[in-house]
Parts: sequence; structure tokens; C-alpha cells
Amino acid sequence: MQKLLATSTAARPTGSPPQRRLFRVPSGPFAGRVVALYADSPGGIVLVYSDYPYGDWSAPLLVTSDSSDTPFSACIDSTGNIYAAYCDTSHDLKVRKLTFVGGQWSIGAASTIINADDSFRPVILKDSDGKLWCLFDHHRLSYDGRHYVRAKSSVDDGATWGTGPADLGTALSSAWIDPVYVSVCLGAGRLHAVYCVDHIHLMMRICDLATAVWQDESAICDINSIDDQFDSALSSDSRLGIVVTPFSGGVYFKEHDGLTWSGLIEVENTDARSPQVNYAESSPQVLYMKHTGSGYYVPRYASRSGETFSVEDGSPAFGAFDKVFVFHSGGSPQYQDKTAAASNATTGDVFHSDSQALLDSAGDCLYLGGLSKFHRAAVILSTIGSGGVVAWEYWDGLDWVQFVPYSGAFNFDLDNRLVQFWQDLSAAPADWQVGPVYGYNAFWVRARVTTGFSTKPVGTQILAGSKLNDLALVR
Amino acid sequence: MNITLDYLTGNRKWLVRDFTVWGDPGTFDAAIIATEDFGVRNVVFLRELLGGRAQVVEYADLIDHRGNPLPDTIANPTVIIIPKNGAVAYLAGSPGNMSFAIAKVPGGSIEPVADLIIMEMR
Repeated sequence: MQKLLATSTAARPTGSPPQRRLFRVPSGPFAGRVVALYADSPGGIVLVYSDYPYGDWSAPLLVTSDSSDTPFSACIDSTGNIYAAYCDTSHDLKVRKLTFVGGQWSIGAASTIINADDSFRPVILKDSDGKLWCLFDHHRLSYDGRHYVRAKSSVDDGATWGTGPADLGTALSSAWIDPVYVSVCLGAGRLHAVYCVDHIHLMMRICDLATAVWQDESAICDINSIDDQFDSALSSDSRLGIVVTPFSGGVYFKEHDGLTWSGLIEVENTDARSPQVNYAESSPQVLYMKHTGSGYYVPRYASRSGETFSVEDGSPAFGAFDKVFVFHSGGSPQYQDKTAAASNATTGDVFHSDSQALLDSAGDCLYLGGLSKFHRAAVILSTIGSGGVVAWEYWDGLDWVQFVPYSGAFNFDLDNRLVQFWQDLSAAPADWQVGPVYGYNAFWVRARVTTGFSTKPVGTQILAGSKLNDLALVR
Repeated sequence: MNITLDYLTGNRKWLVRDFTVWGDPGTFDAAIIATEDFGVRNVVFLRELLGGRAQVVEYADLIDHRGNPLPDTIANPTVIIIPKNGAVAYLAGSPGNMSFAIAKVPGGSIEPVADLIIMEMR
């Protein structure tokens, strides 16, 4: 399923890959409820929730309005209380407890984690003893102007951190000129901090919770241009997995068994972003957005199979269409199958061979078919059309029903356009039916030419692409 | 709209007896929020069951209790599962017009056997 929750004016409403924003209530009468936090404006953080099957969502509950426009993070405890850590407009770090009682969250007062210099991109979690931990990028302007990964903790439910807001906490990294990025996960009495410094170095430190002593820093790997494009998770048998999608390309996985690191495993050789990793028992599962060209991405899912990963599309609502036909009324044959050509990024290969165009004269059609419903098409053209008008239509089981796309009319007169047929997948017409086109049963949308083109469009790529970014997997 | 045809074809029902369920629900219930930037930034919730051994059942592959095959497509179908051996099964997602996905509850020691009532909800 796919559901639009809100529009936001914040810079990164769903944060940074190492941070946490989406949770399941773990126990009690509301177990399974999904709760999401996101930035709805540069200063505002809100909470929404939904119960199975997650079609209807609550009205937003304002968590705070004094956030800076930088990524924040949260965690949930065993009873459903949420702790949201964020950077305020003075670049101090604050936390608010959202107490869960009777199926509702009530927002507590903010307490300050650190107010010395500037701090950014916190991650927060609560250990099994009820101790809160916050790790963050500390920009020490008053001392050396460098960035440090720091950790602070609270034993009084977030009221006091260390000895107070001026306490710098523990520096996990050395000093770096550029911002640092950190993730944290908990397992088997140990806290694992994984962080990126100097854009390329991925490092780790482990804290034994019984002694609160941090082990020495160890190197995980060096890859060009990682920044915040990584995530970490722990398995039930305390394996630490990390996934990285560096800006230089590729999706990589590495695992620590408690003693040593595995080699760097290439999950997929592709440009990608926004990685997330999760374990089902001891099996790592990886999600990320794969670049398909022209600024569009599709979700991908990878699971380990032996020493390698098997990779598949992460959602049937995104990616290549199951079938694409071009229909030219004067063609012989009239229908031509362009499924493969539409899915790849080869320039100018989506056209009918008789018209030499994607669409030409009145009655010509572009058919987009999916075995599941879809709600969009990213249309990349090598030749922009002009003079033509198309009607967009779906099949209701009896007839073609004309509609105006949610994103507005599109007559193949732009070289790159994401045509959103409906607001989201849940808004797709209930009467949209499977039907046969040229012998192929699918959910069909077609663009039918009502006024012929003077300049005929030629296609490069047509698929259900997205611009999704900053994935936050449920925890 | 042909009202007579609609009357004859609408609200059809089929009973499929002793259907064995072997599908896994998916090892990864991936719920995600994400941002999609179109100039305005949309906050989007996605949920997919991934990695499972799906049991996708085509209506055309089913035989009803009278021995007749079901049609290829059913408009707005509803599938009701009646467990017969104590093991529980459920629908993975909403039934489609050509097929539905069914799965056993994780952890069960036996494969569920159930009667299925499939209804067309015109």
C-alpha cells in the first residue's frame, strides 16, 4: 500500500537514514499500531498514528514548534512511550517525552540534552535498564570549530543528561572539519555506535552497558562519499549489519559477528540512496532506493541468500510496467510491445515503427499495464511533442473512463514529467478493473490522442518511478 | 448499463472446499515513511510484505463445490476463509480481480485446510 500522509515545508521531513521516525507499539491493547513522526514545517514536528490496515491516519499532533530545520530522531519504549530528540532554533539539543496512555500520546515539556556550542542530527534510544542514550554531531565552535560524535545519557527519563546541559558528554570520534553522522543500535548488553567521519570513514565504538565503558574506536570501511547514506541494525544473535549507499555508487553490506568483520559484500551494482537494514532473526534484509535514470528511483529489497544477496523490487506500485503497448491506428500491426524499451533508459527507443513516434494521429494510444494497480508514470521523452492533445483513461470493466491526472493535464509536451494519475495508490478508482489489451490481462491506463501532433513525441523511458528519499523503516 | 446482464452476472458466489494453504506471509513486513520532493515535499507511508513464498491463487485455477471452474476475473471480489483443521490462514492484502494471495499464520505446525467462499460484490 502507499498513502500520502502530508505535505511539508521542512528541508528533510523524514530525516536522515541513520535516524528513526516510524515505530510499532510493541505491547498492550494497541500493539501493532504504527506511529510516525515527521517535520511538517521548518520548526514543527508532528506525530500521526494508524491501526491495521493503516488506511486511515490520525490528525497530526504537534510535538514541538521550536525545532531547527534539521533532521531529528526518536525511539519507542516497551510500553509505547516515545522520546523525540531534536535540535532547536539555537542549535541546542532537546528531548520531549511523549507519554502513551489509553491509546493517546501526551506531549511533555522539553529538557535540554546539551547547550554547549551547536549540535545536530541526534539519535536516541532507551536501554533495557531504562537509561536513555543520545548520540549526535557536536560542532564545537567555541573551541576548535571541529565536529565530534558525542554521546550523553540520562538515568532520570530524560530530565537530566550527564551532569547537565553544559556537560559535553563522551567524545566517540576525534575532531573533524566536516559534519559527522551517527547511528546507534542496542543488543546483548552493548550499545553499538556506527558513524561516518570525513565523508568516507565508517567507524564503530561499542559501549558495555554494565560498565558504561566505551571500547576503542575501530574502522569498518572506507568508501568514497558516504556521509549519512548508511544504516545499522543488530540481529537476534548480536550480529551487527551495516548497509551503505555511497554517492559514488553501489549498495554494500558488511557484518560484524562480535569479533570480526565480514568482507564488503556488493548487494547491487547501481546508483542508490537512502539505505535501511533490518534483521529477521539472523537474516539481514536491506531496503534502498535504486536510481532508474533521469532523477527517478524505485524501492528495492534485498535478502541474504548464502554468501550473496537476492534482490527484487520493493513494491509492485513502483518500477517498470508489466506491459507497455503503443497503438498506431495506421500501423501494421497496430499494436507493438514496447515493455522492454520503456523500462530502460536508452534514448529514443519507445515509438511505433510505422509512425516513428510514441503517439501521432487521433486514435493512437499509449497503453500502460500493471498486474497490480499503480498510480503514476514517469515519462521521459527524447523528442517533445507539440500540437497534440491526449485523453487519459482507465478501464472500468465495461468501458474506458476518462480522467484528468492528479498532477494535471499532460500532452507529452515536456521531456521529463511525472504524471500522477491519482494522489496516491489508495485514491486509485475502486472500479478500475483488469481487462485484456492485445491479449494481455492487466490494470490498464492509456493515453489516447484526441488531436494529432504536429511534432510527434518519441519516448526514452516510461515507468512508475518515484523521487522517494529519506526512507525510515519501522522499528 | 445493461441491467439484466448486471443482474445475471452480479453477486455471484462460489464455494471451494478443502483448500490447502502453504504460502508464507512474508518474512519482512516493511512499513516505511519517506519523503518525495516535487517542489513541495510529500510525506508518504508505504507498506509491503516482502521476501515471502507467496501463494497467489488464480480464480481460474479453482473448482467450486459443484465441480465447475471459476471465471478468469471476478469484479470486486471478497474471499472468506472457513478454517477446517484448526490451523489459521488469512488473506495477504486485498483480493484482486484475477487472483488473491493467501498465507498461513507464522509458527503453525500444520498447513491450514479451509473452505473458501468467494463472492462477487457488484
